[in-house]
Amino acid sequence: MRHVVECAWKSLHKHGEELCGDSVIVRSGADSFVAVLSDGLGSGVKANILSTLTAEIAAHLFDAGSSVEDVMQTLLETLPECSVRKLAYATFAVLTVKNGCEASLVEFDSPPLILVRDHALFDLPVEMREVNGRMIREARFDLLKNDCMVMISDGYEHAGLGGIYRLGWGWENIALAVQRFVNTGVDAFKLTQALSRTCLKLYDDKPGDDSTVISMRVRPAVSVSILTGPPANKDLDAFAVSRLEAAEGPKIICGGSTSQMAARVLGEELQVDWIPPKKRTGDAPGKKKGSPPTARLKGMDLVTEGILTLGQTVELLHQAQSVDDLPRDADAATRLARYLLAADDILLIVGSAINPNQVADIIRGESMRMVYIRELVQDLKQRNKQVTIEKI
Amino acid sequence: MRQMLVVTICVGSSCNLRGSDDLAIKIQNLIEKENLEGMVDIVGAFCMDACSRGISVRVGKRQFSGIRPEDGEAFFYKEIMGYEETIP
Ligand code: FES
Repeated sequence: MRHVVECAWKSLHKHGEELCGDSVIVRSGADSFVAVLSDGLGSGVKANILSTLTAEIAAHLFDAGSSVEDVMQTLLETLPECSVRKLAYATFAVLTVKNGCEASLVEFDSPPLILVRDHALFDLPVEMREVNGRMIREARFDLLKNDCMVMISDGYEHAGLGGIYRLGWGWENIALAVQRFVNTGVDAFKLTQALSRTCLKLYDDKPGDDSTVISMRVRPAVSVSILTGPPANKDLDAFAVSRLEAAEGPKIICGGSTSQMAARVLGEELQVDWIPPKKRTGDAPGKKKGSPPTARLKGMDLVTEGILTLGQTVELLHQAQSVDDLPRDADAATRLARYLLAADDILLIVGSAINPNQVADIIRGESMRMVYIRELVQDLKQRNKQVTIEKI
Repeated sequence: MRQMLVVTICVGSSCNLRGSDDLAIKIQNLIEKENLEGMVDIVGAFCMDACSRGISVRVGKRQFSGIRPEDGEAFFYKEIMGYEETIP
């Protein structure tokens, strides 16, 4: 099974600054992951430009397999020199992970990466060496399932300075806090929130420096598979349904005719979740006006109608960063959005039949379904999810 | 005794907006009034691909579309009370 690095991050701006001097880049592909945190010298615009450039260059070159020497050289040649300090400078920490386990870390002047393994803080096999006159920390190690890692900018170390902590929160204390949070079983999103909130509190809601945290957790990839639209060729109905049955993860059917087709192929009954108005007690779930119904079909985890549900799901995704931002509803679109946001690998089996009753479809030459699916796929890809489309 | 007659009302998005619920309430009230409980059952269904100006309804094996909630009573007496299964 594929392992993925679940990742979430948050930056707090220095109080009164509009731009953040810390930059974050996170990219993940089918078998590669890279996270970069760069902290530019000073604050505001200058720091922002320095760290953005540094993060971009580092992410790109390290992911492409360049050596530390090349990266440092490129940075030296590219970064604009600060006219006051006669210095071009931004710290960085880069973590790349191949195949969900082979990690390599390069740090330049940034707080060391925190790793929690088996409930305990883990010492990384770090080597120091000088590159172009600068001290670099490097480590290569294998990640295990459930490993949690946290990258911070120095704004975290200084949090609470002069207040609760004479010298600031400090790396050791932060590492202990991370360990404690991790041991409560939180995911990367919750860990980020918890750390960020603590940091903000230590700063008394007015951060004295840009403060960024990136939380990462290694876990098995979550899949979900969706069949939507009947095949253009009726002879392929059974094939489309068998593709869904054989696919990984929860199975979902999106589309009224598609689910009727699947019920026929499976020889099972399609039961629409609809309680006659007079038998309803209280407010039944998903009874918002205009929200399309769901149904039950043996072997399927969710069965919904098509176009409207897809459209509403796209809307919901645009408004949500993570599963926690979704409304607590149980209507078709919210349930579908929940499955999508929780998944890393999404398989879409798309039938290309055109509904003869939809004049607009015929004029457009493609179904409204395809239009929504394109929007959906674009959104999901931006979230670094692996989306596979099979057209039937 | 006659077999249970199933009345399938489309609760898809279009029909729902046009008042599937209201139509269902009407029909249910009439079922009670005519003492047909246990003989006629109402179930919901996905879009029947016949979205129109009214609601799609299936009575036994016969399909109708364009039924409006205000036509409920006439529809009930004509098509549900008067339902005859024609066995081919
Ligand atoms: S929604 Fe009822 S037929 Fe389409």
